[in-house]
Amino acid sequence: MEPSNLNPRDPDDIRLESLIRASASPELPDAGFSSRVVAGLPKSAGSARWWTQRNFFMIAGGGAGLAVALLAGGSPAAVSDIGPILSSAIASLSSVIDQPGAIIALALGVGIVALLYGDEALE
Amino acid sequence: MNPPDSDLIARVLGSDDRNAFGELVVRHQSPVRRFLRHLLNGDAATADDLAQETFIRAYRGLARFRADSSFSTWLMGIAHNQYRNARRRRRETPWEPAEMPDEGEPGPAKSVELHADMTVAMKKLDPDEQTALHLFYHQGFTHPDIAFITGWPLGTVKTHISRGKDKLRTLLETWNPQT
Repeated sequence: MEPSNLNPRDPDDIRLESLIRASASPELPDAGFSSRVVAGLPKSAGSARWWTQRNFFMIAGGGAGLAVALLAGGSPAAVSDIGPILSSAIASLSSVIDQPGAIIALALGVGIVALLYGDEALE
Repeated sequence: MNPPDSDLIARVLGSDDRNAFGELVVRHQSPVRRFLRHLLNGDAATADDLAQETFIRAYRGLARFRADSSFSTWLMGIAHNQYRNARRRRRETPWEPAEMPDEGEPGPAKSVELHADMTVAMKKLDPDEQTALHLFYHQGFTHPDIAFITGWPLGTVKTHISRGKDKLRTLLETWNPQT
């Protein structure tokens, strides 16, 4: 809301604004427009639900992987050692990338992430 | 009892309620279509195509709608982007006015013809000035709303409105010196 002007309005300005407002085109009847829009909506659920489901599965998958690791003989202490292990792995990444299998796995991973999040990145 | 837009939006997001989204379309289709017809110089068919695409994009991106602007303002911003994208695709052939009344320059007029003079005068303004005046006076949006819709700085919005009014005043005084 615009703050009220403390100065009295110029009558000519008031009249001009009244003429401008009166020149507005009339409201448009719906005439089936909204029905056509709804009929043309994407078949999949709204992006909000897809976003929620996608994140749920990502988190659930990560939690399931952690549970499997612990049940397979891992321990919380072992889990906390993951950090240094990952650092060591990253440091030797150059030798890993040389292997064709690693390249394929990396490409697959990037492709899956692009598939999951690509539509949102493009919008 | 008509539920507020926020309730309808919550129903769409919560359970993909297409009836709720249809109600939103019914409520907001007229201002969106009028705005696009204004931008497209009266090309009703193209305006309705872009309006339909506007609502489809709004449906897809509804989760990103933030209540820092009204739903109508957010919709109009999408509509303006649709127009800009369409204009980029049609760079070679800008939209011509759908109807060009061959009336020549208006002369001294009675009050009922002043309305027609105003319509002709509006067409003589710069496109951005026309858009600013349309959104402010015909659609009732505030200056900050218009800045959000068009992407213009707030000062630019005020300048367009001020200059547009000055030009209209000059034109009407030239055509109707007695009024």
